[in-house]
Amino acid sequence: MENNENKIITIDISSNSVKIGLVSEQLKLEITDSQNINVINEDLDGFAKRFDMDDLWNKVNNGINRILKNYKSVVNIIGISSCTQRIATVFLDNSGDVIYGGPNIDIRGIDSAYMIDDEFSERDLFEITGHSPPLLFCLARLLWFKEEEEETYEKINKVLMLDDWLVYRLTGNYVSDLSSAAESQILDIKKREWSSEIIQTFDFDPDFFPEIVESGTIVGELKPELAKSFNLSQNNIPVIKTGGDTQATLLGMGIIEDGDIGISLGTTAPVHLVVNKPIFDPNNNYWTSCHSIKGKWLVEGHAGNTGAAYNWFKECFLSSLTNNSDYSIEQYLKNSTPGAFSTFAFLGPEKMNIKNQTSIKRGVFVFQPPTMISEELPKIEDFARSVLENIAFGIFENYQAIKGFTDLSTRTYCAGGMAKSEGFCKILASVLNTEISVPYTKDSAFIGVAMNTLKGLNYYSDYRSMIKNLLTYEKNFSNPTNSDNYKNIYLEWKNLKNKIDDL
Amino acid sequence: MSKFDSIESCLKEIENRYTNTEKVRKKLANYDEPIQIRFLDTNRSVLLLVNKDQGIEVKDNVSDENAPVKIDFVTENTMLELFNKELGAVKAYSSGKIKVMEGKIKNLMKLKSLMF
Repeated sequence: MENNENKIITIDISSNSVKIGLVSEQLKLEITDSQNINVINEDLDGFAKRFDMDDLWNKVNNGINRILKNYKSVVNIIGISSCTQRIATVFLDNSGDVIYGGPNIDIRGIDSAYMIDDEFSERDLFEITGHSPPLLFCLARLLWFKEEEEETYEKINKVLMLDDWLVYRLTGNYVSDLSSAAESQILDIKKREWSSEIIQTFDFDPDFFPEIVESGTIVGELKPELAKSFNLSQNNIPVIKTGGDTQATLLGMGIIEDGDIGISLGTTAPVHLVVNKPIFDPNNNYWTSCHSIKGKWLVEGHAGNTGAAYNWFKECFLSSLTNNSDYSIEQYLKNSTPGAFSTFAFLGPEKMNIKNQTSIKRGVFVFQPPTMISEELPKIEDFARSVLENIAFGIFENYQAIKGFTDLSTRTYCAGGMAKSEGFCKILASVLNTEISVPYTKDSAFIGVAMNTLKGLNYYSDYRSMIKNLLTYEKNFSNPTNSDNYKNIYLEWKNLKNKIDDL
Repeated sequence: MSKFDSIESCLKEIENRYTNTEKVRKKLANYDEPIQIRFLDTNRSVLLLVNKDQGIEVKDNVSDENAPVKIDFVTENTMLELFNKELGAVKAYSSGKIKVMEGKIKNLMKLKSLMF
């Protein structure tokens, strides 16, 4: 353990948890803390959901206090930065109090999206914002309050993305960044500014929307009372803007160059391609966002609930068998072969298809059942492998689609919770038939947040030199034999999927 | 005692929501495509004909195979549970008790106010 070393406090509010990390100047993740997030259902229907914002803030505070207390050495905090789940939105009144804070799964906008449809064609809105469908984002939520809760709408003074709110709580300043604002469906993705066309069309107060800065900008200092509550003796601790958790994860993987492809293996698995100009999918399906790097955009495919499917399988099928399901799965993968003895899983991961979000498909395992003539039957090892192969096939379908947006030769990276599984990374490399670089620190969001801090503090003049000097990778190579096998196994999986989708 | 005890009472409620709620008519002001509802346990079909904000016609035991929006309920009871607020729409949808067989997402968004 390094003594008296400069450290960065990093905060990551992901889809499921509030995570706090202490990262060194050398981008070494020293200690972490994680707490689950509470999401409240507002109605029986399940469309409207919101955060308990006091609980969220308490968890940030408690997490910071715990890592500082549990880290045994005296630390000098050189900066604080954060990233949060995308799409999540917070509305504040003129006292700065929260009127509404909603997670990325709040779809109350389903009631108000017709107003967007009436004003903008699907294509026109997509070419401004790079996102669809209209029911999901901040735009539809604002319109929902305007339509359904007029009194609440009248009280709105600021419209923030979740990371903007966190920065506000840390500094008292209202500010957004491109990686956050890009997920609001109110940002003009090409101009990289709030869309005056959208704001005027819906008669929003332009003052709702805070100033936008580039990620890696110092946006204030930690409030003295917070520094005191964290038992920090320092004053004037700078707070640096990061933004969207996925963009932070990509940065932490070192993904900044045109043609880089990053697979963020979290609860879901977005697959991003870095491009140097905004490219819009002619079918309005794959999203276009802003990277946290100046002058870079992202095209995104989304494989759906990958980590969620993996965790569900572990909880449902392995928790009564083992205390260490991750270790068990590694063993299962060693004891099974590609194709999982003709066992196929269909648990959700698939090609992104925004227009087909009207049906929720049934989860299915297809396998060889016991019969009078069975000589061998699938084992738990095969079911575990089939789940991971399903996830890999879902990523593969998006990876193929995203690659189609560039003529450049691509380099592929992945990070996140599932990247900690060596067995899964090998499967993924063979299914994608490519070499995959996995950063040494798999919790890349912390690293991306810390990189923005170092950039903001001018420790480095650019991200490229930081990546070159500080990031190290493990390489996962595709196994040619397995890659050949997986071509056929995927086709068999896809053929079955086409039938199962009709269930 | 449940407020809605038959499919007829639910269909009546759909008409009431349309007729008596300005906000619902406003949402459907540009909508005029037939919606077919089918109950798989009884093989009963219902056709909803929305004429923008000018009126609604609910035709019981009528089907239109060419309807651009088709929604299947596994059982008639599912609709009763929904209207009696004993079951949430998202839960019904994600558990497969309701299935959207055909329909653009933008149309379904508009229909939510009529049915859920």
